[in-house]
Amino acid sequence: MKHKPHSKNLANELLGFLLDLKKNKDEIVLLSPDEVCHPSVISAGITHQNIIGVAAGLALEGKYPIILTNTAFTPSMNYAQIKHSICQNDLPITILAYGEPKDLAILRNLPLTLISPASIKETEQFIVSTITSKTPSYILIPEEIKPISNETRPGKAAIIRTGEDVTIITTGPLAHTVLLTADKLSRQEIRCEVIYSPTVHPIDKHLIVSSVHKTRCMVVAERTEGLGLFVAEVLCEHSPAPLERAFGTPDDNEIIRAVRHALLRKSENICTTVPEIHGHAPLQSDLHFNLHNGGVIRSVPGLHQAMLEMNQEIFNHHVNENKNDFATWVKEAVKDELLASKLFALKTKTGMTATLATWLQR
Amino acid sequence: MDTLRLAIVKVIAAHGGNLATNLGAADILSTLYSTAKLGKKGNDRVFVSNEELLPAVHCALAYIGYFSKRELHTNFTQTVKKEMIGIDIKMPPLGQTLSIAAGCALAAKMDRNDKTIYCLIGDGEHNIGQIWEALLFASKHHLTNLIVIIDRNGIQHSGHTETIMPLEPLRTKYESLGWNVIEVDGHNAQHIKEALVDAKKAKRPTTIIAHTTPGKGVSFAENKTTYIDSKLTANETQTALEELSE
Repeated sequence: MKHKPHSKNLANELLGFLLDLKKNKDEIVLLSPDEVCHPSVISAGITHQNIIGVAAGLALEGKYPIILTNTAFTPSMNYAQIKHSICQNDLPITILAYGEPKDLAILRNLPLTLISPASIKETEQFIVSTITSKTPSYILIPEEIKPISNETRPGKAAIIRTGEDVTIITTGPLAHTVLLTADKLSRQEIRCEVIYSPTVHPIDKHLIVSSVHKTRCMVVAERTEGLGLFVAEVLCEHSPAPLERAFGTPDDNEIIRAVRHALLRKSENICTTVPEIHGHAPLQSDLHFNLHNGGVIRSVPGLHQAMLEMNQEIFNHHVNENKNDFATWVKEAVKDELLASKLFALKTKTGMTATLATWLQR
Repeated sequence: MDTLRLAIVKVIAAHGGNLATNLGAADILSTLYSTAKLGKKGNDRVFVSNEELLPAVHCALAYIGYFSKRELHTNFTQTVKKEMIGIDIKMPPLGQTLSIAAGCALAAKMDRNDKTIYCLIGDGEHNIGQIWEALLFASKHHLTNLIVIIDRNGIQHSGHTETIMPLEPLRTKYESLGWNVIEVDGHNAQHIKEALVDAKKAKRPTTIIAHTTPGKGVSFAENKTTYIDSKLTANETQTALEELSE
């Protein structure tokens, strides 16, 4: 599902709301660098650097400036102004940018709240909350109308679907695609937990860590570089786990590919670490078992762990009326005739898992 | 005896700094700070775009009594203190301050108050595009409460302004953008003061082109671009202090 291109109308769609807001809050000043034309919006012409300074001056005088601008220019053209004129002086200002989402990553070192809501409704709520908290913020205007979540506190994320196998974190309207993809994957017995994080910075560390603690792997779906970098930081620092990214305008297939890669890396992690714990050395590489989904099993304890993680589809590929790949591998590569004969007699995942567990406890 | 410049030389000798520009802008700054209604006197704002002018800003504020001259030497630091009278922001890099001043002037217009916003900018700073964006903006929004003072010292970091990026005819450029222009001798406090008074009466935003001599008052530094960022030797400091004490 590709996203519709943005249009200027999106900024105009917010205009009615902003004008109402201004009626109730005198200090609000609306500014635009030749993007929105309205008598109540101060036109600064195409002066993208100047407009940031003007907003800083207005804020110094107690105003609350809201700039309606375009991602083509902001922040790539006025990063220095945002950094020095605004952030260095802790001035409250909200930048609303419509257009193709980009360049979020260059703002990541600034004390600026970065928000990518999934709908106009959510955008409106975020505008209210950032104004109330006087937080300098940069908000990407989304092209979707349908809201995803009621969680519109800056810095908070929400679990919008629970699952055990993999966490997918996403931001902005892409959340709609991610939810549909998670439905698809559930039919293949992959249970996705979906975190919707409209705030890209500062990120909800606690929620991410607690989810990854459960699923032990993470997929980031995002339209522009930003969220993935913050998530990577959190994982490295607090809860190392495989991280895969679906990037740009990812469709469901790309997200599914990222999920499969993440699951694969998770199973590899397990297979390489477990044998050391149990004292069963992994086999040399030419004797490894290659799973249909790309996973690699290196030892009997690894097989046991892989069996726990494996979905039915993969299991059926390897164990069916015609063959029992796992039993054959144990016989030929591991050279444990007894265990192999036990496995040859079994046709279910549960049965094999239990047999392997008993064998490991011996 | 030129007490303001003596103080500037002492600060720069101790902490380092741009001798040429600081000595050149000293009279503009002392006149500006004594004219603007700051602190208890009113809510005017003075913006100085060039962080390198911090020694002169500190000395000028001490000179006109905003803080004691003893504090000047004990408290001087190259980092800007936002809470200091006359310094409202952490100074951004060159080119950004005029837009901030324009924003303040716009807010004052909206609130219909009588604040005057002063902004001292450099001549070399006019190389930067954002300056011209701000000039167009101020003109369009009739920011008559914005007074720009240009320290027209003719030098910038790597040489003379007219060699590096010619600005002349600067006056014509401003006028064509809809600005009121007054030219003064930037070392004549009385003329600067009069220009500041006239500027407030103008029907357009005003710029005061203040012609200054970089390194003013110290013979070896006058009109020399080499004293922009070189460290003073002990001998140079001694000579400068002697000349300014005469």
